[in-house]
Amino acid sequence: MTNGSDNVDQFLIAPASSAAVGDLADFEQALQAVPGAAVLTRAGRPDQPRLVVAMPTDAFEQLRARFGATLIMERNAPLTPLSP
Amino acid sequence: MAESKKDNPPSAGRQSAPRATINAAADAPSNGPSSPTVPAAVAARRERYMVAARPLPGVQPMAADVIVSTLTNMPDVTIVRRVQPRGFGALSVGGTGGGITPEIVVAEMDAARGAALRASAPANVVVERDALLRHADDLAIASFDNTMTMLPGVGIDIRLRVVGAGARPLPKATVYVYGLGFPAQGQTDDKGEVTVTLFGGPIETVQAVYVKPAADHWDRMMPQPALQPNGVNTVQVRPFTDTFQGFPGSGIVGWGQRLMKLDQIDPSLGGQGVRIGIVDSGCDNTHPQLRHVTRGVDLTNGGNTASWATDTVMHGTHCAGIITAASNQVPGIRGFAPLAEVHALKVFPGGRFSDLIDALDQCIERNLDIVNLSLGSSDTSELVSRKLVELRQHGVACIVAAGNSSGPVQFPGTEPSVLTVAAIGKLGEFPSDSYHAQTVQPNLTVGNMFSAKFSCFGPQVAVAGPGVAIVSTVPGGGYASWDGTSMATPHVTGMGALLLAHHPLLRDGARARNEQRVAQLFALLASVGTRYLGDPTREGAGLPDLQRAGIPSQQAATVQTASAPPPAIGGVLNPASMLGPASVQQLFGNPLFGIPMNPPFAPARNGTPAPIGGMMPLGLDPVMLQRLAQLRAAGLL
Repeated sequence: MTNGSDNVDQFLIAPASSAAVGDLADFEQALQAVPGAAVLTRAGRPDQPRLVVAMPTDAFEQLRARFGATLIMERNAPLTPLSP
Repeated sequence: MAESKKDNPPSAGRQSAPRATINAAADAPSNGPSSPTVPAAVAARRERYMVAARPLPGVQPMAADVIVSTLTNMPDVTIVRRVQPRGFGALSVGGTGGGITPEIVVAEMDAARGAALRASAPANVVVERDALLRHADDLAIASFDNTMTMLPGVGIDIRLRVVGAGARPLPKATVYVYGLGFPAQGQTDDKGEVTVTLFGGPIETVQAVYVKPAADHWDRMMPQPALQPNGVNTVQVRPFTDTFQGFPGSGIVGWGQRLMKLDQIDPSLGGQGVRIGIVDSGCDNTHPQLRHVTRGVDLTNGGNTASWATDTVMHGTHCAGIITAASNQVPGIRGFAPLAEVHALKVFPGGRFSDLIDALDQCIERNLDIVNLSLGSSDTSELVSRKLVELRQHGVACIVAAGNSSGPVQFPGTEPSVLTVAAIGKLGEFPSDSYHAQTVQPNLTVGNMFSAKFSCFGPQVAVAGPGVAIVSTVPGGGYASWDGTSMATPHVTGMGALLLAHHPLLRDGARARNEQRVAQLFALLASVGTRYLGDPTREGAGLPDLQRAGIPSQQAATVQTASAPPPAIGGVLNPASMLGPASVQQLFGNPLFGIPMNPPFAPARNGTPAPIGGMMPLGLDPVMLQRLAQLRAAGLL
């Protein structure tokens, strides 16, 4: 484990195309091996599913290297109301 | 204009803790009598200046007595002390190094007098600020910013009391005290009082006090305040009723709404038949002007269908007022589309991209026509971007705020599938001592109009909206004046709803919710914009104008709704307020002979292709073409 591995954040995971829906299940399987990782939400339509997961950022980078070709994997960043 | 008064406080002369009072603004626009003011002991903090003779070769130095006499004759200047320095060496008056040294006169005066004195001082007189010394480790701190700094010293407790008209204490006002580091912050209690603790220096280092009342008053920005360290410092804020007589019992139309000609359209046109989504912090529908908002979902609470009406952030309720405030129970403010069907899709507090995607899915499921997104992020999201494209393909028009970071447009305002709104302001619509005045950019002001300092800018800005000193509804039944591209955006959303409901080229399209209609709406909004600043990166095509868009005026009072049958051409619309040939040409190209293009999206955004709004043809459907042909045949085009 490298420094910062306990820096847990939220991430959005979804198939890049309908052909990659199965890869989402593979991702979820791989996620079970990541200490501290959890699926927070399952959402979307059957043909367009998405996951919100919490996991350490370095583990996310490792999984993105593995699944990034077929899944969209990005930070579930906070939004801000736009009045100063 | 109301006049500020500076009488002695009733408590003066008592042995109780001293009270310093900061009066309400004296120069707010006012339609009515000024409210009773609270007696004042202290105004803005006075500055100290050093005044002395400057040794110049061949020039007779000014005598200290002359300097003292001059300053003494100025009624607003107080001489604090006289300093007789020694050892100025060769620069000493007399120039010998051991001769006469100049006397320094230290005097207190307000900043304006000090500036005038400096500007008018002859060459043989030095006038400079007797600045507060700081520790060496403080020297890098820029003045009045949010630099993260550990500041030495013991905290100073500063007691403040916030009052409104008649010295009435105002609870739940937020007070910020800005020193050299992080601002100290607190909220007033039922007595209108709060104590905040400031670290980093003596009370003279306080650079500003900002008071944000909970509701129904202008906010107040007080630079260089003269605060008492051991007493209660009273800050008076000005009620809206000073500016808007009888408000909210007497209704007002916002300055921006007037510029957009909302007050000139047929009042029966209220967005009937259009479905509007507001993705925000919910909507307090106990507000007398928002009771008709009965649909929503709380996506921060597992899709709860009741808690969307609890708005702890207040932001969504403010946006909702601009869009749909109704005057059934109290005249108050005027919303653009009080007869539209509004859906509050709650994602704040705590909203993330996943919540936004959930909300956008709801927009599709609920068959909404137009959606207000007064939100943004410093990150980007491919999934949100795709979802916004999906909405557009479903005929849902997304109106998005440009952002408030004073830089390039923020996501999702960067997306080509949406209509992005920047914020403009108008001088004379807010008190000069309110925070609103801090949003003015002198170098981006043309006449009375200005680009708001905070507004993001760039080629993605399609139109501008009023975004400074916008009075709208807040939870609890009151009103507040806020700034932001968040406030600019609902103006455009509201107008978009009116166009969808009542514009002859769009209202029948309500039955055909599709991408073409979104493109046509965006093009129409941009084509009827009035540019005030001459900078398209800051105002896009300008501020949309309902009259230029051909929405019937009060003189042509016939209700037209999305579900109503189309009127006979020329029988209802006011020809003078219809689109002129030039604007139609700009909007639709030549609808009979060419492929219409969509002007506001002409430039590619961020180097990415503009798949939907960009250089793609609008592709008017046959009904639209027939309508245009009818209008032209009737001589209206």
